[in-house]
Amino acid sequence: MRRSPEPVFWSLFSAGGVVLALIAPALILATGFLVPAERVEFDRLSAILTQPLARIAVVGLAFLTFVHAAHRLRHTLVDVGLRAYGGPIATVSYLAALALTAWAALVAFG
Amino acid sequence: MASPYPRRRSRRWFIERWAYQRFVLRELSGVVLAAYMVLLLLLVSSVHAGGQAFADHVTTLRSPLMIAVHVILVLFALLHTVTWFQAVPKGLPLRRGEEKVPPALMIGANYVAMAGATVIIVAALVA
Repeated sequence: MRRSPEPVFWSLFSAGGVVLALIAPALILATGFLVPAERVEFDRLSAILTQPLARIAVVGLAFLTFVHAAHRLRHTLVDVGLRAYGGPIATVSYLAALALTAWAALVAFG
Repeated sequence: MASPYPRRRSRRWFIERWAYQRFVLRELSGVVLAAYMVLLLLLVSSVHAGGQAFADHVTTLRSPLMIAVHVILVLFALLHTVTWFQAVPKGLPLRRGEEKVPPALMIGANYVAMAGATVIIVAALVA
């Protein structure tokens, strides 16, 4: 029997869910309110974001976020009545997540 | 022969009740957070492009529209946090010996971790 990839998707979904639950409100507070209020210095941000570990963290966060979103979108679309298109919806969702992650890598290491 | 029980469900069942709407909003929070991730990456991109690009980006972020967008984003992020922490004891029930760890304790521990992460992030960014 061929092994299903579903456990991998659920694990990544779960990892993304935990990370986002812990840090998403703080990140939005920082980049949506503290940055426009000029409470965050450019030099500080630049010093953080050019560290190799921070670049990897940005890509990791992007990967988990996009896979989490793709997983939710996929299952919600199927649940609200698009069961017939479950296969293509899954494929398109996860491919979009991968494409966005590739873009995130270009940004983080740019 | 008895006919099968007719399942009657409208095509728009998910907008007909608050409990269902809440489910859809919760699921939507994942997509909203992905949209925020795009905004975050645009900010990172502007930082890598240098001081002038960052200053321009900050000007964009100051617009009332972007402030309103971030108010909505933070509400969805909090919805995600609250619903995720509520689900933790159900998805990962912990036992200490024979005793089940009380769900409230597990949920509380998650909020403590979230508060700690928030303090670290804000302290790291605000000089």
